Amino acid sequence: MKFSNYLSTIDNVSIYPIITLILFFAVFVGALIWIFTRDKNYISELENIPLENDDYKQNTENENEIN
Amino acid sequence: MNVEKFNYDNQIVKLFLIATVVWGIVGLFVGVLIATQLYIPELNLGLSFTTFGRLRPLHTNAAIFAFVGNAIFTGVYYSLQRISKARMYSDVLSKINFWGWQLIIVLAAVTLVSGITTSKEYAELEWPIDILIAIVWVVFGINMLGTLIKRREKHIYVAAWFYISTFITVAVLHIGNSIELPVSLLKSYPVYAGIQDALVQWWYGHNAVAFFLTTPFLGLMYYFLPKAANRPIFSYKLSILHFWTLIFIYIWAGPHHLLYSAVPNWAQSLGTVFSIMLWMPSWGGMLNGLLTLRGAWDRVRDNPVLKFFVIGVTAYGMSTFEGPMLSLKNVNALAHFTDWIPAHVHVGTLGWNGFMTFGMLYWLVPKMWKTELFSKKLANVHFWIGTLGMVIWVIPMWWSGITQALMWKEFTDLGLLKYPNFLETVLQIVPMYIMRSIGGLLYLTGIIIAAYNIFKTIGKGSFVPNEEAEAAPRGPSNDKLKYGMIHRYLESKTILFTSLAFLAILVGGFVEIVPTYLVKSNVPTITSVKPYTPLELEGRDIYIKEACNSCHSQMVRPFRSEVERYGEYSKAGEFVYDHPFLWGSKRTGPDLHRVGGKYSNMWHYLHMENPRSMSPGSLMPTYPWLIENKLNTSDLKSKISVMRTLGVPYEEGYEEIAYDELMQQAEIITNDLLENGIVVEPDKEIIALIAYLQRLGTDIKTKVAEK
Repeated sequence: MKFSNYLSTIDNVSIYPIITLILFFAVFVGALIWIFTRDKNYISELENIPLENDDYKQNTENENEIN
Repeated sequence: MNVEKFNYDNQIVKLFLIATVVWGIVGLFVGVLIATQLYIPELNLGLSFTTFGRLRPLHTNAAIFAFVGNAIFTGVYYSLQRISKARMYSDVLSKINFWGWQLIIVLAAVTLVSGITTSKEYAELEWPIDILIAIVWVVFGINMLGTLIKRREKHIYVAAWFYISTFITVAVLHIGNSIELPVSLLKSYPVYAGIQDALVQWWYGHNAVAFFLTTPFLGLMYYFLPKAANRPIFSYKLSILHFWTLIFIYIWAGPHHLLYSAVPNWAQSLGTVFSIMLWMPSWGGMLNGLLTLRGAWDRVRDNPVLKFFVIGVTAYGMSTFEGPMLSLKNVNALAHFTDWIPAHVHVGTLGWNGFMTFGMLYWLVPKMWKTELFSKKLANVHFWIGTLGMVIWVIPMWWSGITQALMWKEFTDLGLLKYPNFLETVLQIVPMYIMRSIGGLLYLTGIIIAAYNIFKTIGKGSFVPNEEAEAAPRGPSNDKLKYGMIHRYLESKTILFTSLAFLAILVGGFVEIVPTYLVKSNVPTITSVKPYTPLELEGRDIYIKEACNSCHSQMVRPFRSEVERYGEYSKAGEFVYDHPFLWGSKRTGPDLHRVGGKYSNMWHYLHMENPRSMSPGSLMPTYPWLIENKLNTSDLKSKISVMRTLGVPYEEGYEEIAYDELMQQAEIITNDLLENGIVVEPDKEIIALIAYLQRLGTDIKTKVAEK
């Protein structure tokens, strides 16, 4: 088992960076398209997830802030 | 509406929170101690356990994995339950995660001070602990994904995306970088050698910064900053773009740690290009955080939590601007190996990780103990003393880094090095080292004040281990078309989403790493490069044990100033038998790649016994135990056979005669020392270390001499 001899050649290895560039660019464009086609209400629903009151019992949200 | 009642597990958050504070104090204390040792070397107390090389990895591991690690778990275990509207998947897994992680930290502390180390930065722990880390990390992952699967909230909030990518990538990095063959229970050699090992290590090192110090904290930022400011994040859309671009680009940037080294040029350029691209998503995240406070800046004035967050996020912005800048080759030529690098790192760790953690703690403790913070005034004192400490730490180190680099590179009119003695460049920056330790001390004082404040707050509050909550169960969604079917589908399939994120990271990592395995085309073979002799191999392991590579590089870059100072620049082919590579990342002392044959054996002996006897004013600690300790050769046979397995051409059966050869070579050195009036047994550690140092970089020298 000579580890350093594994994979001593790969045919057309130069295609790898191209594939990755295309992949990255596709994801980037995909994310952009997704973002700009979102409904306002949907985004607002998402962004308010952390703010929904999680203290159902004592409801001390505002008292607990350090003011 | 159908509403379910359940409990949030606050007990596990409490445990991680306390561990964060305790390990924070320990890790920063060790940091201040080693910072002070850099100008008072006697503070190593003449003991191996308390010497810089042993304590430096203890500091970095304690700060990153103990302090920041526990802070990540604190924040994730608190926020994930809330954004999922569900208790953690399994209390048992939560407990295994907590106690397993603390066990790892204790084992790390014990092994690192004992000199049991792989020498790879931020991955110093030996293979049994590596396995334990992998197990505990997977437990954390199962617990997290399980919680997301059984969540009541319809959507997955962006913070959870960052947590998932953290889990997956750290798992891949940790396993990828820890592939090593054991020699014994506490010793192993990595399967990679030389430039491959360097590339894998910095693929790991860079992405450990990305996925342990950055993505989990961005997740925490996206949860705790809106909570503390009581308003949603500035732009949720930006957060999504931020996420995908960040995880895609980060994975590529590793080779920027190896600019001007023996790594192939195309890999260096790739690292640079992606590092510059990385600036954009990083600043997108920073602006998203800061702009969340739009219209609420008046509250920052009197809310310590927001103060810490603002400085934390700003520090993130600063260090993610500095990072791409440092990866420009011309800037890197100046900054690499100097104190600029620790300065850059500490903007990130002290500012971003530290201050985000403190902000989170000051917000969480009153919340979880149903009370108000014991003293807002003390929190403000902590804020200012911490900020001041950071400034006094970082600015002198920028100054010192640039000063030293310029001195290294300066030539006289006659074309000679202006400061040929490395020591001159060290003595110049001692005042900066003193400043740095004062800055560290201030920062440490801050966290001690925080601990007191938190302790008092806990004392006056009442803790609820299981916080009651209620939410509607997650029903089938009937509005797919309205909100985009594909994403909603992905969102509902946690495992599928995880797999896609995994694929994204893997492709980037794979493409970066695979071409470097193409040894024959990337590493020109040098016929005069031979495997280490048994004594040199043992000496090399002592070099690793004492972590000489913390302060000395073994990489002469192809600059006139370096070739003039150290000798011929380093070639990729010279490192083919180096399991692991020992290029180092910092020159607190001079480069050692061409030190072989430069000084006499006697010089090395006396220098290790007391560096100041040979180099007056030197900051290097003394190593008296190397002269007293007997060299442990019990693993020699298995070391040779493991090396052969890894491709080092030791002949079959060589391990049988290795010990005899070792003693022969040791006696040559002891005889030479004797002629110079030094009486020492041939079986001492110092002899092996001298043999290794005298060998360093001589393969090529021999070739020149033969010509």
